[in-house]
Amino acid sequence: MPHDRPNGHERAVRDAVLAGDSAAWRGWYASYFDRVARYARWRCGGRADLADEVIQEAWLTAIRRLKSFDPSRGTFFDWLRGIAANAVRNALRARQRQQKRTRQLVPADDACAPEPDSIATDQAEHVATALAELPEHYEAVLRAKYLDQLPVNAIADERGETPKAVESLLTRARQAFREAYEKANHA
Amino acid sequence: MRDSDDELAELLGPPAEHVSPALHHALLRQTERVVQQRLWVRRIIQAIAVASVFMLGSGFGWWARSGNRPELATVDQQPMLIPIVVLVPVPGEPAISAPLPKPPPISATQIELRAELADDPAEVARLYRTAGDAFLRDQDYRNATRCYQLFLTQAGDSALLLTPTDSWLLTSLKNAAYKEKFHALAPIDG
Repeated sequence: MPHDRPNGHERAVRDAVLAGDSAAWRGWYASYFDRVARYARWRCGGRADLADEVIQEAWLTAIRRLKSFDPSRGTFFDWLRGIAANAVRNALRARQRQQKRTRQLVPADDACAPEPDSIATDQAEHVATALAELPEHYEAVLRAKYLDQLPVNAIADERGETPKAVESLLTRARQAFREAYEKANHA
Repeated sequence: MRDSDDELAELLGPPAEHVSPALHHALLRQTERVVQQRLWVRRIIQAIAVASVFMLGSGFGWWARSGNRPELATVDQQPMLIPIVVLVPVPGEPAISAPLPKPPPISATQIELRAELADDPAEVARLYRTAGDAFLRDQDYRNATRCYQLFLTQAGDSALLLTPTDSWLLTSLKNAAYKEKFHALAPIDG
């Protein structure tokens, strides 16, 4: 997945949308909806319901706060991705608060085995929680490796670092993710 | 390491492609509504700005017409005519110069004072005669007689000759002086 470079075109589109140009907004929406959705699903560990919630919040936040998008600091997709990452954290925190408020029922003696769907759901939520806890540079290198499927050399070129440095960063990022995942799994 | 990396690849690998068309369209409508609201707000603000400028202009025009403005200083539109006398010489006639203003008249006393201060005997005699004439005009006969006698003393015997310009008093004084001078010198017949 090519890394987006900031350009003057995005500033013009932003100004047009702020002036009320619906066509400009539709163009932007069509260009980035699938990419944002893919990123949101990845951050949510594959959970579709959580991902839809994150996608909705990300786009509504983006259109309301479009004035704060500064093309000189990054691309529109980078900005959208940051909003989506915050939306994931907010959604996870909201679900955790809801789970704490739910009165725990007395477990039945004949508790049935957990359904496969619930296992997958829990796993997805643990992945989302673990990713949310990682520092941004760990999340970025894991995203480049596993979501964007980039080889180490390409990641190194993109970050302006050596392949060896990227390998080292990947090792630390994987370790951090495992620890966070285990922590979420046993929470 | 490789097994755990594969495990991570399973956990962090690309998610299944799942595009919800309903979510796609619903979100587009929601966000487009926000864009259109911005457009209407922008148009309303522009309309308010134009109306405000129009109202300000109308209000200022009404204020100006109602006479509330301060009185302006009026300028007299009537031109001030200044007559200028221009002397135009007529060909063939001598140029007439503007008459010089007459000097203020000198009194008989001042003429007599000039006669007393003058050095030239002829000038002294002349001024004494002029002072006598001035005193006579003022009907001051005593001072006129005194000045005429001083004239005759200064001027000598030639002044005893009568002239057409002599006043009656001077004529009388000349006759008396002549008789006194020449008849006194005439021999006595015995």
